[in-house]
Amino acid sequence: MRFLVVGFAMFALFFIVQGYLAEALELPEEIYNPLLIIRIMLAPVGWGALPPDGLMHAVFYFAAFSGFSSFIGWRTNISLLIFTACMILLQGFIYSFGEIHHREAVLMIALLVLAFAPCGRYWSIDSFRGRGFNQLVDSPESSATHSEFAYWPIFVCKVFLALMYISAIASKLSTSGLGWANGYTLQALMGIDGLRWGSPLAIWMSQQHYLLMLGQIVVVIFQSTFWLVLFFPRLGYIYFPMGLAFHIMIFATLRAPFWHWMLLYFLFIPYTNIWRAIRGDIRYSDILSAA
Amino acid sequence: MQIKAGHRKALISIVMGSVLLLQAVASFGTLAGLEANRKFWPWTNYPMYKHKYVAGDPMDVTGIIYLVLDSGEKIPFTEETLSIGFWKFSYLYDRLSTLEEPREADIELVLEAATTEAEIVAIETYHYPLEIRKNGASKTAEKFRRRIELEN
Repeated sequence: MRFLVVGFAMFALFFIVQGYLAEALELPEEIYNPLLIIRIMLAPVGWGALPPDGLMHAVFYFAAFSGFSSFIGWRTNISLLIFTACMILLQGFIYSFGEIHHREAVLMIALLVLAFAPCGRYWSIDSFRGRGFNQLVDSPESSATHSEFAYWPIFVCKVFLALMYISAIASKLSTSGLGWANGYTLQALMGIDGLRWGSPLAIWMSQQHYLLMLGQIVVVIFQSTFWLVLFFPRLGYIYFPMGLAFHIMIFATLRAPFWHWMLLYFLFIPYTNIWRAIRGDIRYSDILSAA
Repeated sequence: MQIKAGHRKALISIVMGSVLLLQAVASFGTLAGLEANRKFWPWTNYPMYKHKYVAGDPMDVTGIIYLVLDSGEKIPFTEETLSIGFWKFSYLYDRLSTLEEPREADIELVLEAATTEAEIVAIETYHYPLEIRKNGASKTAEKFRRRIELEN
């Protein structure tokens, strides 16, 4: 999980956040409306005050350094805490100049819960040096590769994803009711975004009324029942490909890149069980359900 | 620093529990009228695409913006023609699509980002009302909305 989440966050830092930060620093000060968490984190420079550019650049470099040390597992947990704080500060600062988008928050949460997990125990500088830098969240007496806390961040991320989908479907149903899935809704969205972002696929899709109505019904069922995966892991064989296809389709048509959500799907993959199945210790059909 | 096993478990339980509790509040508090997004972020609700459209609904939301050169040529205002990033483009697009008077700082941003060597004398905005029908969004002809003269 550490390599996946931190690796993705580092990618986002250099290829998304860096560019957005440079843009945000050029936007007019009048539109700066800091989020509450940014007001709190930047309180030392004044409550709600625009921080100097140099400070935000310094935060970026802190993020790069702490992200790298998290990735290689050097003082893993404290590095992760600093990395998480820097990423929240950078992303929240960018959002303070406009509307909030919905993709990045989940990455911040994944980093945060990872910072409280024994994720530096394996394949890390910490483990190589045999030193316990992570004793706040890890027991030095535990074995090298197993911890009762190891599954917690993965489980929290799974529950978090289920809550996100419940939030999405609750918003749709409370605002529009089941009539949301009438075909026209998605046709309109495809039409608007297809024209705005120049997506021929979205424009073609906006003309397929019954196909989109079916798609909307599937979305309602998917989002309202996704939480069942937490209790019946075998449902993952249905929900994970559906979820990935769902987000890939949204990107291909509406140009909404929910890569951060898709990242969470990869946390559902039981890598250890796949390895056990390859070795013949368990059956392939038990990969999602074996302890 | 040595931590007792029980304390460690309590600490991690509190952190993980708080993460989920805050998400539950952000998700469902919004339904009860709580303005969660700006207060709770990175815990937030996910109301994307929640509004329903029905057949015949007008969607007067799509704007087209042109930069008018001194030769009279019009350049579409896009991320590519301006060589501009998504964030700044979205900001300027929203600002210029409204009928509010643009701020001087907004105009300066446009002029800085424009890649053309020619002089930009005005910004023109159009809109094309859409209407959703079973066979797709019907697009009507562009309608002129306003012209912003630039003082050079």
